[in-house]
Amino acid sequence: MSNKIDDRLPKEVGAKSLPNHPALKTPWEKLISFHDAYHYACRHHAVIGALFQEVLRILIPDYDERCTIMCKVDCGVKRYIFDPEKGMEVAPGLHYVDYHLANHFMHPFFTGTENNGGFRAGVFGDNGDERLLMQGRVNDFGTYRVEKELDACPWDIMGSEICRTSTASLEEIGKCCGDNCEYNMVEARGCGDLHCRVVCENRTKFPMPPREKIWDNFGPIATADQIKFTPREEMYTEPQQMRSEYDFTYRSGTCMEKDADSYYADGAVTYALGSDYCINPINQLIRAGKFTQEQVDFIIECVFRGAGKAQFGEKFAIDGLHDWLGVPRGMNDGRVLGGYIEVILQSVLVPYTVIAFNEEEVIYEIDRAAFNRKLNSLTTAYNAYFYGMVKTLVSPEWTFEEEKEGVPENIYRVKICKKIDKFCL
Amino acid sequence: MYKNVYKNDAMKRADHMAVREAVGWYLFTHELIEVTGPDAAAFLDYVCPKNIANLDVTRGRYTTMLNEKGEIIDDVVIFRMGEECFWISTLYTKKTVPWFNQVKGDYAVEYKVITAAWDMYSIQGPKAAELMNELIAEGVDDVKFFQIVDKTMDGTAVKVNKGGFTGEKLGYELYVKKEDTKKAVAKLRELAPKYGGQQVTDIQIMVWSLPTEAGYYLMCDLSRNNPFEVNMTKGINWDKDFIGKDALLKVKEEGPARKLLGFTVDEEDIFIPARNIGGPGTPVLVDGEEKGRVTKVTYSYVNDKNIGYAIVDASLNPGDKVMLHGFEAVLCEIPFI
Repeated sequence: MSNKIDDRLPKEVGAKSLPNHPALKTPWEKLISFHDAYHYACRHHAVIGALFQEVLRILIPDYDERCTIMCKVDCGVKRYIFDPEKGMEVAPGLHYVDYHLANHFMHPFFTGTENNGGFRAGVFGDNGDERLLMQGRVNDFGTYRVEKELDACPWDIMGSEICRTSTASLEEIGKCCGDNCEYNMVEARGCGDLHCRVVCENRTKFPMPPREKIWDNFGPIATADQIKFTPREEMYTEPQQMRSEYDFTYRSGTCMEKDADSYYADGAVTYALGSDYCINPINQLIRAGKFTQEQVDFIIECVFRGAGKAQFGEKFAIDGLHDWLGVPRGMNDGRVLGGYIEVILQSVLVPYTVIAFNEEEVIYEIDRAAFNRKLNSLTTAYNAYFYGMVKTLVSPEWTFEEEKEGVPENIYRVKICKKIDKFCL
Repeated sequence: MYKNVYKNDAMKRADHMAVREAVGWYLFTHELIEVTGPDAAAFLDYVCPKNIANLDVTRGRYTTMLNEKGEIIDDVVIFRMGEECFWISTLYTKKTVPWFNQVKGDYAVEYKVITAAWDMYSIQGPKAAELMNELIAEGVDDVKFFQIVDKTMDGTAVKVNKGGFTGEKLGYELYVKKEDTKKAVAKLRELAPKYGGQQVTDIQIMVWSLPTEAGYYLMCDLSRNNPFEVNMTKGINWDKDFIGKDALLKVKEEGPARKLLGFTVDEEDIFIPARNIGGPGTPVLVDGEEKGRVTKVTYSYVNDKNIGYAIVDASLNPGDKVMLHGFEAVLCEIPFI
């Protein structure tokens, strides 16, 4: 006999973010726990991001050129948001960076007399990591050095480019908070390392030769001898907000606290992270006249359609989805894909209305803005992705398409039905 | 592996020892809330367990603020700037102001954040008074502990408080208007070397090593604990009404379930994650059973030893040996010097 209770979420967690249930509900009353929905949503975003990464690789085969544009574009985005003088304002005269610093309880004296507060971006990173299920630990935090070690990263499947880009972005935020701080990701799960390890060093105290390329941010670093490596057996499998150690709450060194519920509602799963790192550079390429929108859309459709077909190419994948959704035995029509789409929409908090749900057709009207998340290529990608899926998940008799005629612009109306098309793809 | 990031860092050591042996100065601007109105004193008496209303003008007091459960939600210094005007020095206005909104009730009181108007420089160490007497035209010998007084610095109006967060007997806090901050920095840079001092620039020294060595607390030590657990009941006025009193009386009757103790670790190259750098803190293990959590780890340059705080089961006592992330530690009383 034992009274020991292993780590688990308390039954109330998620009740506020997902009304009525601390869980999602499939069309067949199968509940998907808040915990699984959180993990699922992050994994899903990473998968979609990985596909957009392939699109960008097709468009720019050269690694150097690709990483350069990814870093430069995302640094531009971060500068637009965080610039202390010209950046976004959340209220007249209140720049976003100051608002963000205050929300993280960054004490005023952290700025230093020499504007050496770039290390503060490390706290933003730590909060964002735990929020996005990249659990780990801060190993060092000070004016001249910050070390963060991550035990997981859902986005590690995207490859090394996003590791370099996210590090460059963090450094850009650091530059908006102070001078002389350089961030390096000296280990990266996207490169096959056990951890991600980001080290921020103040170059006044720890001089190093300047980088030659914006993406060349995997080190070496000046303080390699200070690295603290956590062995595999001590690594976390859940973030702080899903562990009982501090009452299911993330806490920073400056006592900022967040629970899983507030994280979920606060953008942890709603934003298509990963895809944005690729879509924004793609849009830049189009604006620069290197590709047309039609050329880009064609590649997106090819990549996502193929991925959708591959997702259920194996029978066990179909069985697995039926089991996960609680699909009634014997059902094999558009409703199966419909149920899957509903889980995605609920997981990422996108409002939708069920217009039709029967063995002949399934129709949803989805909030377009919430679905698109200001990333214009998402609907193009998902149209191809779901189209490919239905071919292997149900059968080639079935199709998935967006209906535009007579539909208001703010509605993304999709239909799953049988269709004969002699030129189908 | 686990190279000690304090012991072998000459810059940190120089920062720290300048304060202990001569004088160190640093930007230490906190957030400031100005509380005004006819009920300002009564309101602060209600939100703080210690007396605030009986402060004379210019005098200050260190106090906690509690929630209804008797848990510490902030520790602050409150100065009486006028009969109906108080300054609260905190680091958590984002929590404190919403809390005031929640508990304000019918008190005729107003409060606003005035952080943007003032910078504060901390001047600490045995030579601090000498430096301040040269810096401040009127001198500072008349300034009492926890007293904030109007003075002038090279013709510029400033405020001087005698106090600090280092444990030094001679420590001052210099409040200057934002527009005068460069002038203050230039003067401090000029004067400090004359007294064998220097600027302290690393937050790890100003926030952790200096205060911890001297037994000071941070919110990472106090948060979610009550004053009995962290030995902060001295000065509580049990005869008045204050938020959290009922819960605290229950703890007083039953005794606290845990307590905050210090610890030392003899091993040099340690790595013990603690709440001061985020996360839940390393478990405090006794015979493999969890008996608490580490709230802070840093280094005592005076004792040349790794030190920290832990919130532990009330059954543990100074002298007990515990395991922290594989390193043997000995619990002890706070402070360390």
